Amino acid sequence: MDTHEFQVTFGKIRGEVERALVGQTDLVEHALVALLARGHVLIEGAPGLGKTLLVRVLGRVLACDHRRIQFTPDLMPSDVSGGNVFNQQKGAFEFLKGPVFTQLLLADEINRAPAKTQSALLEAMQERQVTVDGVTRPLPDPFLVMATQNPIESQGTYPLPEAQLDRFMFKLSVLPPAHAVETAILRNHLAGFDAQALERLNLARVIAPAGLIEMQAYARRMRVDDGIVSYIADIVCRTRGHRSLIYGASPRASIALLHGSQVRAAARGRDFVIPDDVKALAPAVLRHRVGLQPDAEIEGVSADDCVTEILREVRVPETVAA
Amino acid sequence: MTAPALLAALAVAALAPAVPPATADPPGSAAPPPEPAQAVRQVFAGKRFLFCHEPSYPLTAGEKRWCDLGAGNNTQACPALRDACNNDALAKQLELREPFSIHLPEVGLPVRLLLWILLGLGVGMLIFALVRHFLDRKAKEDVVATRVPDAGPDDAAAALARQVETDVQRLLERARARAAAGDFREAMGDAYAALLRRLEGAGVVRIEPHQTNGDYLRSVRGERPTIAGRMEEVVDAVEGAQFGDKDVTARGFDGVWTRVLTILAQRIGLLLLAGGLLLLTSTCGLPRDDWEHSPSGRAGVIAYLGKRGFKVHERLLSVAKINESTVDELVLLPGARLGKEEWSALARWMATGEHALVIAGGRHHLPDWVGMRIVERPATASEPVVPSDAAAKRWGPLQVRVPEGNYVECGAEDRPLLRRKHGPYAAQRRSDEEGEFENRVLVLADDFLFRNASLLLADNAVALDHLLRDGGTSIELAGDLTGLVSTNPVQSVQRGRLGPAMLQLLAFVVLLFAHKGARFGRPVHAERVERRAFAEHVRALGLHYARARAERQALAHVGQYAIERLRERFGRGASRSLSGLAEAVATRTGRPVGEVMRLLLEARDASKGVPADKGARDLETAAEITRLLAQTGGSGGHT
Repeated sequence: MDTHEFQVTFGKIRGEVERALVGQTDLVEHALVALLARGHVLIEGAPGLGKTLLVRVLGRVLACDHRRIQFTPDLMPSDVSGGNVFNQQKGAFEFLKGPVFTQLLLADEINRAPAKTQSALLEAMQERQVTVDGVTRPLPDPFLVMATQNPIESQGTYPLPEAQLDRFMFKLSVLPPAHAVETAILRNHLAGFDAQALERLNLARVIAPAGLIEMQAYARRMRVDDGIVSYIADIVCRTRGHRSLIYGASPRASIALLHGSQVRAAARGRDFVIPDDVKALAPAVLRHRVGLQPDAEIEGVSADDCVTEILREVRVPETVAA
Repeated sequence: MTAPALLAALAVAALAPAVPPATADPPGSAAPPPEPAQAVRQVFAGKRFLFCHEPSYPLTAGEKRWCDLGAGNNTQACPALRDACNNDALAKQLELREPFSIHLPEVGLPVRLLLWILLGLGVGMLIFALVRHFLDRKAKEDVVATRVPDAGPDDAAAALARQVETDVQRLLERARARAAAGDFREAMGDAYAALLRRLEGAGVVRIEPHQTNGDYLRSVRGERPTIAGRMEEVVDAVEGAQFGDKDVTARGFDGVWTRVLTILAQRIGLLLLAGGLLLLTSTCGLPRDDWEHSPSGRAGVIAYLGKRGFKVHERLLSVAKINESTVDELVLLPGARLGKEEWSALARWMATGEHALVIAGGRHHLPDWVGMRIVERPATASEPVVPSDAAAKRWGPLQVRVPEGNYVECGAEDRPLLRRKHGPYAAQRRSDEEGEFENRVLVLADDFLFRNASLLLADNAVALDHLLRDGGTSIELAGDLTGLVSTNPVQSVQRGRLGPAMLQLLAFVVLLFAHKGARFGRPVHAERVERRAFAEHVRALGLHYARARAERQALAHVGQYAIERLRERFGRGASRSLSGLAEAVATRTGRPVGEVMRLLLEARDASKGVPADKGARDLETAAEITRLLAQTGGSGGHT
């Protein structure tokens, strides 16, 4: 594989996905970047914006297994990871795989389940394995978790703990479509589009899971200049001393930013990372990894504001001196 | 208004009070003045009178009338005018370009006062902005100076190395020099820096340490989409060298260099094109000189009179101040603006000395004391103007040729000096010879004799000499520039003939507004400086504790905040005791007093550090108190 081939394949995947999912360019791109950087995505957005559709379409285009878990207050950890069940015929316990054993997992409304159930995903997301009763079982490769949460409703929800949030490479906000996009969606439906019958769209299977793994490996080989490494470190370190933040991002954020930038560079046909890659992904990587001071929250300052401010403070490497 | 005319008007408006009056050539001290015909030849030998030297000189429709009278035949004085008269095509072009003016309304004292105040405020703000900018800059320089500890003032080389080159030309030269030395990587960086500096100068990008090349590219895409493609290629090459560790070859540098120069040249080309278009629209490529030296101007007349021994000034001060003048004779040309005040001043001037007033056409309403009036008559055919019998005895036979037009209506006591078939062309009235002073008012039907082209015809120059010499040799011409000193900005604009220019400027500002929005510059977020009340901090702490599930502490802070707010809302009577407050809140909300009292007591206990009872539900109490706040007016916020 070379950079051009990577760029072309990335473009084809994106093109196919966007045939079914209209007007969510950023969401699709970030989801693909996360997938190729071996990360996970937390999507915050109202229902009906195409989150489930994205996973289904991705599964079809990438020829990957995909499953959906609807998180509810009574969902148990074993409902996610699976558990040992006694087989009366064999007279022994057998492990029954939970829905987490898939390649693309949609964790819908993840904050509706209590922390105990949410934590069932911790090991899966970080280690890409599941341990039940002392036995560790690897998850299929590639493995992408796309979790969603509704930003409006807060009653009966369990905010994700910081440790869980940190496992997500990106947190994306899905905004309602603009008028033109809304019109395009309606026209698609008038033309016969049915989200429940994706086979009618004849979506091409652009790449097999093995090819995807090859792309993941290739993206890791993109050159990262010392200046870029320092730039990433500068940005992440600044989140730790920002006056409006209680706590800053962890080194996991730096790593996510690094690998995400590599994928973005390759997706644009470059074999090296530029500051623009870092800057473009920084908000999605950092916004859920920082905690706002209460007074900043009262003043209406958002995590995005803080990240934007930090990006304005950090000097870009190798730029024309101002 | 054409650009040269605009510049001239601007110059006049700016310099009018300070410029000394235009003066004719001083008469020779010893040598006798040349003969009129010779003086005319000498005057028009000057190269500034382009219509006498340039056969393709374009004439306006008005100026063509002089051709019909035979002005082009005086080839000795003005050799090229005959060809210019035959140049019909150019004359037609100029018919469309007759000067026009926009008359702004006269404004009253309040508006004038307002304009002066606005002007003063504007100047004040400008000075304030400049001073503040200077102080800010100085403060920043001081800060920068204190941040550089590693190089003393003696270390000139280090200081030089730290300097950032921002000059486009020097950056390009440095790029060229580095490329010649084989350092293509640095050369490419310099070429790119030159490009960015030029774009910054044009306001397209803003170079700042946090901006990436992608940011600059996006700015260019938004502002100059035509150069975005080339710029992107440059950025790709530069970033490949900077971050991709790509080798920069001579060919690679040449590619970037060519693209950078193309972008820069494109901009220069556009500027040249715009400049060229402006020049074209300003002059239409026609070789006309300034108005004063055109056939319609007066520079030749002033020069001629100077050669003939007159001392001629163009009057800039208002005619109302004529009493301060020491001249013998005042010529009122059609452009001179005269109101009641000016006419009164003239009447006083005439009554207090031996003066002569020449009214050269252009006015249909003359004061009674003048005794004559100018009557307009449609032009028909040219007919010669000859001296009256009395004048012919003194001046000899003369023939004056001017375009057909007005005549002077005069009484029995007035003496016609020049006449044509339909009536007098010039007439004068002298004051009573038994009076203290002998004054003279001369009225001409028009101002044709005071135009350059007139001197070329028949005996016009001689007649003008005779007409004026009776009044003395010290003459002031009152015309367009007279009294140009304005009393208010509107008048200033009007007198400077800047109305069209101001309208153009206004249209430009409107276009800029439509294009850029309310702010022409780059919008900058104003820094918000807000102070929050102590209660807000308490509430923030409460939220903080609530998030940490520290229920008792959350209730303590939210409760304290709520009690303080409620006391603010219900005033002094309610603030004496908690029970009074509870009663007031209960009355307002319709809740039972007991329930409100319970909430307030729990809030107070929590804030005083009283431990919670077993089974206490502090968060619920905090939420309930917040609801209470919301019910009593204003937002209770959310917990």
